[in-house]
Amino acid sequence: MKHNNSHHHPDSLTLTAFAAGSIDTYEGLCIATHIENCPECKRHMKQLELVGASILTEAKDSFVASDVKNKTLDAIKQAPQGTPQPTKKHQARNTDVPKVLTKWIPEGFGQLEWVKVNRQLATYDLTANKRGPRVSLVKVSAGGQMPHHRHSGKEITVILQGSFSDEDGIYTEGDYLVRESHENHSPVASLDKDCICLTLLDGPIELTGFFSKLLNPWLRLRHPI
Amino acid sequence: MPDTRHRKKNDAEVQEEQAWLAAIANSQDEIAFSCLFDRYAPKIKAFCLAKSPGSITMADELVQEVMVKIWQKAHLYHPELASPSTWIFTLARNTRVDFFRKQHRHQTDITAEDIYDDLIDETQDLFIAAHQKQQQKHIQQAMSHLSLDQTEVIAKVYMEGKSHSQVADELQLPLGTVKSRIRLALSKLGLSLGELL
Repeated sequence: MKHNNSHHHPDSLTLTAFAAGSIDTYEGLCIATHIENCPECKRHMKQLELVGASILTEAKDSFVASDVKNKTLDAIKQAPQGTPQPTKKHQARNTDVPKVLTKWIPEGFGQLEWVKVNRQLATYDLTANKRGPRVSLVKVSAGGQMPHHRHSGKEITVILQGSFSDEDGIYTEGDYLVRESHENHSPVASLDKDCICLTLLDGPIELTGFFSKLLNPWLRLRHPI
Repeated sequence: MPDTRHRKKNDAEVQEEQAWLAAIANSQDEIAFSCLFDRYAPKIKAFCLAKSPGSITMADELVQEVMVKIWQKAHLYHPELASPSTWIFTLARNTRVDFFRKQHRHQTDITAEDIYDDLIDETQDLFIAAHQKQQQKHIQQAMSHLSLDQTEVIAKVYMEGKSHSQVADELQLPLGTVKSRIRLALSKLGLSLGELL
């Protein structure tokens, strides 16, 4: 994903919560994925960190006992300073994967063990957690249609590659979209390229088309919330 | 009339803090570290206690953890990119996010470092950085002109780390009211995105 001209961004309240650290890290990962390639949001987020700095420096001092200081002074004697931290980031090699996601996708999208849902749709889970929100990649083949679906929680989508459209418009690389629960929609990937998205689901998806209803028990199994 | 509630950080203090960080980075100066500790540890503790009042031991642990990070990462601090307080805020925020992430019932392997670190390294634009340092002064001043309602919600989001819906529950306000107060506050700080209030 290159620098993009995305038209759909997290709103300023979401960015505020992100800058303040008052957001769960699942949603944070989606926001960071968007911000990495969106200079506008990055600038805005830096400004919102300034608010945090002001609030921190103007906070009323809380008494810190001297033994806390002594313990800290002892701890820094043990703590190696200036040595590079073990790099948690795998170096992505010539992939289009945003840096934020390389920990989970070190070798590029092509090397992942995608799970096929049907001929046009495949998914890959980034989070192993069985409860909690679910962060996954969704790949829709060029021209493919996602089954008409409805979901019970909030759904966040960040487009990593390609583009898709639904009843409301066309979305391109970098776009950050939020759908509230019970909105019904049926996105279609553009014809020229597979579309890969990062998605966060707060609740299980339900497919509403006649045939795809058959898939519901399978999906619930994968989203056992 | 001078507003005494909000004592602004003056330039001399900022330079002093930058000198301490440089001394820590360049010569492992424990005296400089001790000065920085005295100034920031009580703030960091207040920041941690706000999220979890009553957990003094935990707040002390967090203070220690943040201060050790400052010691270890001082060489990564660039005075031309951020003021010491902004840099320290981000370290405190990340440490607190990770601390509560580990306690959360939905444990996740997504760390604060994963989501925030890549965003830091890339903002190497000095022009923007210089502009933001100016803006920090402006924001500090504007903070004292927020209404009590607005200050309250902003403090809950930043200091207490509460989500918008948690703030709404706690203040027994509709979610929409909380959101519009935050938007109004942002707009007073000159930080609105041109969205509709």
